Amino acid sequence: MVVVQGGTITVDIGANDATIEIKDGTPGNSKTVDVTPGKQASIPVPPVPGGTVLTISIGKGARARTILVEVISLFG
Amino acid sequence: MSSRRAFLLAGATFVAGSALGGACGYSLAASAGKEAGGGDADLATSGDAELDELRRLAVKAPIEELVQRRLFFVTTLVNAYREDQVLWRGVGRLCDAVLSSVEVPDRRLFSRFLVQLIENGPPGQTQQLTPRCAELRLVK
Repeated sequence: MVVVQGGTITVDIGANDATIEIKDGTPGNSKTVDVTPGKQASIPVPPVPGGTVLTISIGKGARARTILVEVISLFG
Repeated sequence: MSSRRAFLLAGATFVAGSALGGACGYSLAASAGKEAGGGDADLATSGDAELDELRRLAVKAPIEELVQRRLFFVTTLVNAYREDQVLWRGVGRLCDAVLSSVEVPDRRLFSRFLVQLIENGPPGQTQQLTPRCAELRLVK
């Protein structure tokens, strides 16, 4: 998945998932967002340089689902 | 030669052959395991079931299994076991997979992620992987 800087990331939330964790690869830099279970969530793209790959974990523990999202810059 | 002597000779030859074959087979399997990075020392139980499973994935599991569970592997490594040397060998295997003909879903995106992972990893663990970043950046 690819998103642009300043845009939003849309993810499907499972019926038992109430949080999303977003990481940009920098150690200790993560953000947890509360979401509504069973719906789609739109999350603002964090302010990171173009080319950064975000790790988005939906849910917690062994049941967590992880997706990778690349942030691209429209202005090079 | 009496038939009894022939029988004893054949039996002794069979026993000696079995012993020699077993020893050679064990030796070959042990050295192959070490070459593949799957030495027993790496897989000694740590008392942490999750870490043991990740170490198995890193050094012993078939590459197809490691690739299939790559996101679980790398995110758990980053979240909980950044300093574990054995797990970083699994990252090396993932680099090999991305750069070879192994089927890796979202190959380009995952290669960029590996670069980011290596560059933000502990220098002591990622030193040997850093030279691979240039190649990984070229993956289309």
